[in-house]
Amino acid sequence: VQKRVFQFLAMGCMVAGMAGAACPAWAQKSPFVGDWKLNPAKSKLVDEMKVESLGGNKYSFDFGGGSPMVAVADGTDQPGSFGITIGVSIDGPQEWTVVRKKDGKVLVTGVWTLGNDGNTLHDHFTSVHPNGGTTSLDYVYERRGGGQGFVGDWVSKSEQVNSAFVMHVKPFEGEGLSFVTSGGAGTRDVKLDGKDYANVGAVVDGMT
Amino acid sequence: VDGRTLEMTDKIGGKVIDTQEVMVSGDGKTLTMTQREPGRSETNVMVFERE
Repeated sequence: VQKRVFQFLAMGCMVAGMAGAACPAWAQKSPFVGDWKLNPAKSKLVDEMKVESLGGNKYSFDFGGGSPMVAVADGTDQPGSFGITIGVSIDGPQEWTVVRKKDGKVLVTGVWTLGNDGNTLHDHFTSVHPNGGTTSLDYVYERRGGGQGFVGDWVSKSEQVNSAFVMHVKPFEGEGLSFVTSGGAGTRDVKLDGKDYANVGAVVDGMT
Repeated sequence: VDGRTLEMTDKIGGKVIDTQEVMVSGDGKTLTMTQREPGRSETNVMVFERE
């Protein structure tokens, strides 16, 4: 579920490191509490993805997480991983649109344009939040290894963040912390006890 | 890890899909989130500034 760096708040997690040191007052004076704005100039948001041909018009897409998604590139929504569907449209010899949905609602859209040299891929990526807000990035990938057309291993070499990204960190149930993004990207409540917790708002089924 | 550093782990079906280290600077003005994924060589670093 890439680009997960912008979707992490919608996932569940285990928090380690502060276990045993937690106390009800700790979170109130936690250095994490506050409003935080992403500084893209100081950040490094590398993305990797792999596209494999399975013959005919069928492809495998690996966006990370260890569960590639398979789709016939005919524009229809097809079952993917973790309850998410994938639809791939071939808009032209050098342009594809890749849409992933959950429960029929668009999660992310990627408009891919292949460079004339065949070794550069531009992705205009949009993530849609539950409240309808969006986060947009433009990634430029370079081909790593062989492959033709969109088939190959792609690693981003630059990115442009088109949307402001603000994270609000608040105390949660005394000893925990709640990470909330502006724009409704998600809320991630964590307790500092080293245990796994399911995230009710996760976009991925079965995530802790 | 310490009072200014947290480590978070995302899992699906018990399988680790990434880890994130979240660290606040000594002056409290910068939060750095470093994300690592198994099998990937590159590390993502998100730098936030306190508003």
